[in-house]
Amino acid sequence: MAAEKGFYHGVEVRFNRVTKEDQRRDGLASGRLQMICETMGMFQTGRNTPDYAGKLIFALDESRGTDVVVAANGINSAGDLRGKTVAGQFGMPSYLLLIASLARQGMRITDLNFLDVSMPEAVAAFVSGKADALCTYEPHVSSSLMVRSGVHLLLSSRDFPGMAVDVAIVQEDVISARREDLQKIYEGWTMAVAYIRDNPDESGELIAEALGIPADEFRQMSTGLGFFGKAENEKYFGVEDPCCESDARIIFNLMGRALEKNGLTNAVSSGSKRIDLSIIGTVKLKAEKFR
Amino acid sequence: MTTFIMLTFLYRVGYVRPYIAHEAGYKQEGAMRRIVLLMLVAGILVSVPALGAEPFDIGFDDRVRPVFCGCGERLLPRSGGQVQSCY
Repeated sequence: MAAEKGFYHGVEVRFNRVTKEDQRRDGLASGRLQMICETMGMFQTGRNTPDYAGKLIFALDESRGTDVVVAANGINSAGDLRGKTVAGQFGMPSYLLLIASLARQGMRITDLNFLDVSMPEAVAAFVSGKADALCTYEPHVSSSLMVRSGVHLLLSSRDFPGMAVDVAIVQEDVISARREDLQKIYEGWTMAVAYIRDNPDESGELIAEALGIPADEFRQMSTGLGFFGKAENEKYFGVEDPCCESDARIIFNLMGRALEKNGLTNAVSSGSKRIDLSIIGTVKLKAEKFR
Repeated sequence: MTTFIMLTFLYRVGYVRPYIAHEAGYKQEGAMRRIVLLMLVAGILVSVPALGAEPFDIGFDDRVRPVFCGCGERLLPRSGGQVQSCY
């Protein structure tokens, strides 16, 4: 959207679909990619040292109900999952949602039998009754709820605001070497978010075209998605009140500890080290009309 | 950049100068040469920042509700909620 509208102020931004986490990390480390975008949880998963590369510079969007855990009849809280079989995919936002919910109950992932399989297999396991709950996301939610009787929504990312957040990550040397470009990219992003809010139909069609899906499908998907514009970023990262711990730091630290506790990472870094506020803090929107 | 290279080439190989001299006389040649030189300077000014501009590559996890195969490959976006094919 931002590229289409020229919001990046002359910076030639190229987008690369990289679905595998290790390839994204390699691309960032080698300098082939100047930025990667993924969830905050994914960024912390599978680390062997706390001094890993990369810093968060701003947030893009968050899941607001698109990632969920559905459960069979009789399971009404995360606590009821003790000893049950839950199907899903390791590391996905709905998996982290499950971990966060278990932590609230004083439980860990080892307190249940987690079946780590591909999403179609997980859905099949749940629908056939081999699994008691399913960590999933749309469009599987609707189909899972319909196919098996007594199935209901147990947990939703809507109940955990700020947790399933996609963030922009860059290497430290890029922050110093290409600071101006990063500021233009962040500004371009926030202008695009404002434009999307003001022009939902036009922008929906443009984004759907870029993703190669029908506009209606994108509109349906976007109902469970919340974009982070300028105001949301400044609030989430606590730019206006840097004296206190921001939501981003608190959630980053909590998630790191939860991942470590559940054996999903061997090393945890602190939010204060991993979050760089210098881009968000210095950018002033020039195009007031897009606010 | 292309304009700059082209003008430099034409000027260096002497194509512009004799043509100007023949068609318009020596008096006009001086003025035309200044115009060409000005265009060369303008070309340099425009080209230098462009030469320094690097593209910015962003790698992203296309988690716009994709579905994954067992091997980890992504399936094509669905139509009406149905998985179509692997790529």
